[in-house]
Amino acid sequence: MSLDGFVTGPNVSTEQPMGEGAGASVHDSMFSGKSDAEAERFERDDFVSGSRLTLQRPTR
Amino acid sequence: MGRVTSEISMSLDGFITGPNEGVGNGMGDDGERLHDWMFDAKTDTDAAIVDEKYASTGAVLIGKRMFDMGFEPWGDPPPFGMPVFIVTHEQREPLPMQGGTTYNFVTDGIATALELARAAAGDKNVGIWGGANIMRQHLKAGLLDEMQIHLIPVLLGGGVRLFEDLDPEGIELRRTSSIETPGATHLRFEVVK
Repeated sequence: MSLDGFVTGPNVSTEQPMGEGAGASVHDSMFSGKSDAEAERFERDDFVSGSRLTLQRPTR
Repeated sequence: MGRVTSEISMSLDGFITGPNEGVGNGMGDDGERLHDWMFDAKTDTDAAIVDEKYASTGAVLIGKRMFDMGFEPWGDPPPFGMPVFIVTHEQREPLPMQGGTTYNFVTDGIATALELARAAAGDKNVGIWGGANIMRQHLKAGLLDEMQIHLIPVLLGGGVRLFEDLDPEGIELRRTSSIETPGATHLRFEVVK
């Protein structure tokens, strides 16, 4: 869940299951085969910061 | 120069008051539970966090609605002990209270209010202590250096939302500390500029 209480970004659809904006970028980083460095950065910036959190565990 | 820091208690479902808040019910129904960590549930760690907040702050900036709701319950001396700046549309003479608190009313916007508060705070921080609207305005305008959120493990189901309708464009937060006590998770975020 994000700090402002959302589990997705706005405008969730089947094409954008995590919604737009931060939600969508979280989805991208986690599920569409980004490099290890990017995945690491994601974990550091987003999980560790507590400023974002997501619906699912990363599958990588 | 000091920093501009906001500080507020928020329920897990995102509210800083319970439902039906208003003058005479400033924290809303059940909203006082958000402050248990400062009173009934207070540990030494919680006490140290409150002490640090007062020691580091030289002036406080609040919204008019918070002032209207707080004025009576805060009483005299009010729980500030330093200059307080209130952003309002109503022109009013400064109101000195006991114990070092003076209420100053600023009618030309948050930027001016912040400038006056900074001058009054000297080397110390300006504390934006509520409510939600004034915090959002400072965050959105890039005027906040740091946000402190005391995340309280209660669900209030209604009330004033801290992040109501806030467009997140251009706002990035980096968590700098997290301290857990039975009554709260004390989160500190740097506003990335």
